[in-house]
Amino acid sequence: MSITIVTSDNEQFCVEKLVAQRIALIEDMVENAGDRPIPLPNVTASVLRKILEYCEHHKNDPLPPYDDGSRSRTTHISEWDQKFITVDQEMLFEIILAANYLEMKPLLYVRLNVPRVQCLTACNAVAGDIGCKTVANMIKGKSPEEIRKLFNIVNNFTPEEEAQIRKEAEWAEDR
Amino acid sequence: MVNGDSRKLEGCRGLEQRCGSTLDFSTSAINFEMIKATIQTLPYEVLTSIFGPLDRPSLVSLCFVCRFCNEAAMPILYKAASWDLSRQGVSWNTEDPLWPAFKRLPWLSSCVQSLAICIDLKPPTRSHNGSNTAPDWGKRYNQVLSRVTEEVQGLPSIRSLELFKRRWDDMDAFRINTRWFGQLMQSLSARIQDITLPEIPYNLTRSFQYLFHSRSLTVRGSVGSALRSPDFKLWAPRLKRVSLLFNSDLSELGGLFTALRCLRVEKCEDVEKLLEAIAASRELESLEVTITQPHFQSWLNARQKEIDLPALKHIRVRIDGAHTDQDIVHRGRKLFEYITSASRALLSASFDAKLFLRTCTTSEGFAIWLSHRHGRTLQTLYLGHLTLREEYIHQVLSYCPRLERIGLAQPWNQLDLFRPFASLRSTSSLKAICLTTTQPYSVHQVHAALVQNFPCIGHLLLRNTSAFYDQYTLWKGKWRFDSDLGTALRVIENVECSKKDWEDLVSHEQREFVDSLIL
Repeated sequence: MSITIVTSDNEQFCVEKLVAQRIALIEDMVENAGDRPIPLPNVTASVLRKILEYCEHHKNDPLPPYDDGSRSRTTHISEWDQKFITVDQEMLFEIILAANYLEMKPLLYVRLNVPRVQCLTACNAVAGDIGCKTVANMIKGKSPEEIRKLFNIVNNFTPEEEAQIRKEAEWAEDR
Repeated sequence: MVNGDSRKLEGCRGLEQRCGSTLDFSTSAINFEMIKATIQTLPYEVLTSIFGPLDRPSLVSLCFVCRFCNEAAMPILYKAASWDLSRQGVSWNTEDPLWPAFKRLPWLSSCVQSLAICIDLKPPTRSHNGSNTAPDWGKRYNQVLSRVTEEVQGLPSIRSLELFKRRWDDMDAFRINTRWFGQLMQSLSARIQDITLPEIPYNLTRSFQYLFHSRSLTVRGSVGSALRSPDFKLWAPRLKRVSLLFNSDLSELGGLFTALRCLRVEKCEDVEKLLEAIAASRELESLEVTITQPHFQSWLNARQKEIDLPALKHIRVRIDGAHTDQDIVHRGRKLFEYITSASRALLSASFDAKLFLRTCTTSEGFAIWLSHRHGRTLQTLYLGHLTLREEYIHQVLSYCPRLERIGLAQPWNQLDLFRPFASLRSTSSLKAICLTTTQPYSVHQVHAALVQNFPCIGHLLLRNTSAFYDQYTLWKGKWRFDSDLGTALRVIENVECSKKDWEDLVSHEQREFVDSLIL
């Protein structure tokens, strides 16, 4: 059984229901949609194509058990997911935004913590929060200037504000 | 805190959800492509998910990047705060580092979940004639401590407290005002779940009566005889996580750790006492122990029944002792048999010892037993210096269908690096390999062996061990986006590695489990 999804640029995707159901938002909408196409006005075709590639690969993975608000501090990304998320920066943020909009926690971030025993295998398989982990890995170990350059960010602090932050953050550089 | 663009996203989402019920296509009129996706277009909650796992230096960097990043990074940075009181000594006031931000942004104080305090204020030295150069020092010190208590009490979300010493070496005694510590613990009482101390002077043990709500104890230095104190014995049955990182006397604790789920003991001199201490820990899930005096012959001879630890999932044992290779491996195997026999789902097993002669037979027997007994569930099998020949590697792998990480040593007379890799190639699930060798292979040799056998490997750790020192190297497999070609390329990078990195990587899974334990 398949369903039709229409993107913001009016491209239609015929998707296997099992694959589409990895997307929480679509799963909710399927019930009301009947045979009609499901519109995703916030997702372009190029981004949806990537997301469906992810869903197809992970369609048989167990879903994360539940969201308890805690996260693992690991930034490890599985082999397949690493390759999947190796895209240019704009596409990376498009995927993260779309995953957030589509309520795709595995693609955005997976809750790893409890129950650990059941979760461990599931999490390794789902290899979640790849978008966030990828950006975290890009930031790790970089200076403020390097981060600004990497993401094309303009420093909007006044010199006084910078001095204040420097004083306040002094404790964090101690240990 | 959500910026304008992400508000637009939220607006669009709300609109879309509304149209979702009617399936009205008219909403596609919103030109979403107008907004170019950047880090600054991410919603606040997504940004905090990105920053959440970052280390402190990276978070500090983010605070300086721009206002947007600062707003998202500050609450995360302040989750785990530290404070070096020794820098200002008795002249400390709340204008000094850590505290000013709470005055400017009062909500920030509720972000602090863990606080580490360097409290080792040293009194001024006496002058030549014996008179104290600062007669009011003690009074001022007590005043500072009282104010410290007030400030810490003002952190409503605090769950974890660490006292640490910075400048003293291991031989210095940790001096603490026990009355103040008792008052602090009493005032925080049920809030503190996790306490870390540099040492436990015996006179501090009376404060344990205020720590009954704490479920985790870490001691970085000596515990002396504190664990034998009546107050600790009353506390022990409530503890879920105990880490003793120095010489520790575990006598008289038999059967007390009934709620224990994670135990780490460095420099364990008496294995029998350790085993007695965990004998009733039926919920124990993680055990890490470094044995310095593996004298448990009398215990072995007694042929006691195995310990019933059905919940055990992670075990890591290291033996540092002057024994023959065969003896060490024999004792290690016995210990594993004794401890893991009742485990229903062992996920990681790690054993290491400094072996010199690299005899294979005993090592291979141990590896086969371990993989045969627990291979069905094992994801990590780290055997450190234990050598395995090819046929035994195959046998071990055949018992461990879910193995993702393996560590072993190359037989001393094997010169060809391709051979152990070729043996490991039979399993497709391997993501990381730790190989101990006696040959100093060049970067080129390792790279060639990896590309040929494991083009998709995540991590390869190589330890070249010699009589003088060990050398550590790490190779990481990565995908890299080539903006010119527009494709993903597979690269294997050689990165710096130290002994500490090796230890961290080898025990990463277990440590992550221990750290994530809900108290």
